[in-house]
Amino acid sequence: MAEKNTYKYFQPARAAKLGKLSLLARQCVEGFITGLHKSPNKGISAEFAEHREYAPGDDTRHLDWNVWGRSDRYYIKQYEQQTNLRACIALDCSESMAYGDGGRLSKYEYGCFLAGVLAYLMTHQQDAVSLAKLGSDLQDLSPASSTPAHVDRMLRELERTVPRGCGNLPVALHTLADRLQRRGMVVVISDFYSPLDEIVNALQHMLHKRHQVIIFHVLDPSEIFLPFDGQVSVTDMETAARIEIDARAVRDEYNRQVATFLASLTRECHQRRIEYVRAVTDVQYDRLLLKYLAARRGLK
Amino acid sequence: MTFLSPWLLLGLAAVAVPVLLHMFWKSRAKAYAFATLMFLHSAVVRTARRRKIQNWLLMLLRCGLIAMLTLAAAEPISRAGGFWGGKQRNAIVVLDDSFSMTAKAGDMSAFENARAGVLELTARGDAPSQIAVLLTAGPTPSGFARLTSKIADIRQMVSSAAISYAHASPDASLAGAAELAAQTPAEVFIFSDFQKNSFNLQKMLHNSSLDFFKKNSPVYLIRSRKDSPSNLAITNLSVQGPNVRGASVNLMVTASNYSQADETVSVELVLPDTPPLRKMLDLPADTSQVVAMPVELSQNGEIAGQVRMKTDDAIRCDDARFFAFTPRPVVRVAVICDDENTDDPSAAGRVLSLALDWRTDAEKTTTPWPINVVQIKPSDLNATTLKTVDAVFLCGVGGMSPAISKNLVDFARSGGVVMFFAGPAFDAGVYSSTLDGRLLPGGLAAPVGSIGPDAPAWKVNSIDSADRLLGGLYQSADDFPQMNVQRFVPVKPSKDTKVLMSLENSFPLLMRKDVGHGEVFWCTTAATPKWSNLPATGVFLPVVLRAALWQATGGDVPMCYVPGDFVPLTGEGGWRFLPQISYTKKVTGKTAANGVVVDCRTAPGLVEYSAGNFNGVFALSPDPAESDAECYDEDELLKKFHAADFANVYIGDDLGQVLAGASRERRGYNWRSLLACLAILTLLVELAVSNRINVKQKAAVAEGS
Repeated sequence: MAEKNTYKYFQPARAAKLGKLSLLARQCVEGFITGLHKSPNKGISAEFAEHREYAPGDDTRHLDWNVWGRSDRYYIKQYEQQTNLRACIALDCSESMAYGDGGRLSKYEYGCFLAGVLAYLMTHQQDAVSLAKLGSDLQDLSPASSTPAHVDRMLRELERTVPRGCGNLPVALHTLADRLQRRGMVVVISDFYSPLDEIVNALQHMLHKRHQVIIFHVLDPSEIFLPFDGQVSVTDMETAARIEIDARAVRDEYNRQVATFLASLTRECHQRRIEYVRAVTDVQYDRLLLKYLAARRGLK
Repeated sequence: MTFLSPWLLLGLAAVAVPVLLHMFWKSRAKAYAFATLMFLHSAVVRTARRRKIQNWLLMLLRCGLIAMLTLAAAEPISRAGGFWGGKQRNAIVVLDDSFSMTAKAGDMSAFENARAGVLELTARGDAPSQIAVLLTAGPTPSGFARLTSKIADIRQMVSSAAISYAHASPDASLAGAAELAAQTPAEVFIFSDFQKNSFNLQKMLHNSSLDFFKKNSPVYLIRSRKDSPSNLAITNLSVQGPNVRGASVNLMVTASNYSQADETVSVELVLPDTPPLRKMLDLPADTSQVVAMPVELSQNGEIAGQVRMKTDDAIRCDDARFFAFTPRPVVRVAVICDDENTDDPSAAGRVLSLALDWRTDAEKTTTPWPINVVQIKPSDLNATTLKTVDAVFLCGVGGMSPAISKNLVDFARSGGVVMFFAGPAFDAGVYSSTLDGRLLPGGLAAPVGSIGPDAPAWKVNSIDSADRLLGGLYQSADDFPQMNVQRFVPVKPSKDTKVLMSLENSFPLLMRKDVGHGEVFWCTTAATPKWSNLPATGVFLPVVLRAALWQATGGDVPMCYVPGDFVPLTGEGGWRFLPQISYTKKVTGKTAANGVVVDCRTAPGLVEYSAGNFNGVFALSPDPAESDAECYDEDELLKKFHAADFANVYIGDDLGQVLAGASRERRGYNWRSLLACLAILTLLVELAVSNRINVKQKAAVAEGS
């Protein structure tokens, strides 16, 4: 990988800590080369799958001569095919992702770091990665590739991108679901500020396309607990709408609503076997990923 | 409910501040950019109603907070049970107007302080609705010694109240207060210097009539003066000597030093048209001394003047003491004897006459002497003769008719002095049969003993030196044997006869018997040296002079009165008090039969009066009991009241202090602390309601699952 280059959203030293961990698909994915992931097709592999009665045209190299010797019948040995993964990292690039409080990384920056490390991990295990930028709709979808040059391009693209505009995550996800032809893994990195039912529909669409979906719900801590005090005028970063509130009076209700939204999103994801990871920006992204990947592998 | 600092209630106006702020104040909102308003919008809509209620609640809480802090600062006092809780509040004021209150206490006198205290009591916001005022020395003006709601009249009376020169009687005032309080529940305020001399607390407080009062009436002791003043005073004045024109007497002046330092004072006797007579007197601290000031009673009419001392002490009115008295005319003595036909110079009549009046005929016009003697034959003694004399000396008269005897009895009963001497002609049988029993000293016998150089003599072996006739004549009992009696009349004295001098054979030598207003003296030996050496001894002369001047020296000479006393006046008809000589005072008083009761507020001085054609002078001086102005200190006073089981006694140097102390301690609960606690609680509620205190714990942010 282009070690001589430096990236804004990728720190090789931190990524190296995660180098021994792999991000394996939990379901069959359709790859284009042999890899670590289970493919829906049977093919040449070291791992035996089942016997099938010989049919004319079958390659005689796969006849199981031991079975013929015992039963005088011709059976073909079939093996699990393993393939590489096509993963799509979908990053929310709406302006709300530019929010960051208290000198912490903005949500977009945090998401870029996550995306960079994930791309590195996947290409490191020969998986193909593509990058989807989500805004009011799908803004851009790069082709999947596992080459370092591709990752380099991805990282440069992230650096160039400035979160801007009003986002519509459900629409963008629907479009992305339609655009991804082969089933694979979709990693959505967003703050998910959309109506919950619409988000769930969009995710359902992804699942319908038989993608494995992983969600990184990026939040600034001050979004979970209202940070303001006293009488404040708050402007929406995406819509520029403004509201004047007595922060002390609405804080409890706000906190309650956020907690309800988070709990609901978490529950909906679990019900749909969508992996949900809450990424609060006051936790270092590499520690978050390390913990996540370790948990995913059943390690403590 | 009362407030200790009611003026702080002005702070309640600040309650309007939160209302105005809630109505008109708009805070300047800080602007922030935020990721989304999705949840904020919803939160604002959902909390709209609650915030509206919350705003009103906050306004009320803030108003309440200010109100509670203001009330707490003003210290509200709720009255305790009983009549404290009632709307009616009565006060009985005991105002000490004795002249010890004239002592300075700061810029004002103690009396002025006390008067200001009473006026303050009537002017307070929580002033009693009914007040009675009792004065400790002067009589309380009618209508004020009972509870009255005419506060303005009370104020006027107190404002015009003057010092009394009579002795204070606080026990009577306290008893009066107890009586009033028993009828109508009331608080008692005593404004006084609490002078020890006046306040006999041991007697005053342990009076059973105060029992109800002790348990039910709060007593406030307001000390008008903190310290005992240094005072010097002339506390007594008396005449020593016969109050008879022509006599020399001593004015015995008692000067007292009621301070803690030794003093040397100049005591002056001031008489009209006479240079002052001065004497320097050393007065150690807290002592009294008597100094004699000689006065010649040579002039006619009243002797009036003053004795004063020059001091710069706390109480000035007792630095002078006035006196006025009228010397009696010269005492006329009749010596009844048969000496006219003899040239014997030792004849009893001559000896006696010479002892009574030593002057020659020429000297009688130039030299004053209080006794004028005439010799009368026994046969000339009759009722007419007795009317012209004050004393009769019978020298060895043999006997008398029953009529003369009766005249002598009447003479003695009306104040005359009769003195019998035995003698050669003395016949016990005749005396016993003809003389009225009221004149006889007892059973008489014929004279015994023989006369001559070798004849036996009896000595005097007992003398009643405490009797007025003999007092002060003997230094010791060794003086007695110098008298030798060879012949005497044995007497068995009756019960009403007082033996003044006895012989060693137990027979009386000298006797005295009260008859009406007069006196009868008996000497059982003769007034001549032939029967005894008595006329030659030092006793004889003073004894006969004292007997002659008996009525002039007997009893107290009424020379000075205390305001409030009844002054008997000589003369008849209505009294008219005149503008007086330079040191006399105008007097007001209530005329009474044969005298006047002088108002106790009349300033000390000489009072000249006239009644018809008769003019007279009497003197008024302040009651000396007030001069010792040592007062109780606070602890001592409080201990005495507590020891006497007074349940609610509060003491202090001014009314406000006493009432404040009482309010805190007894009059009711001070709600300040509770209000302060409520204010703190309200503040916490306000903080919670305004969400300044985040009472909810932040929920942990779960990561994912």
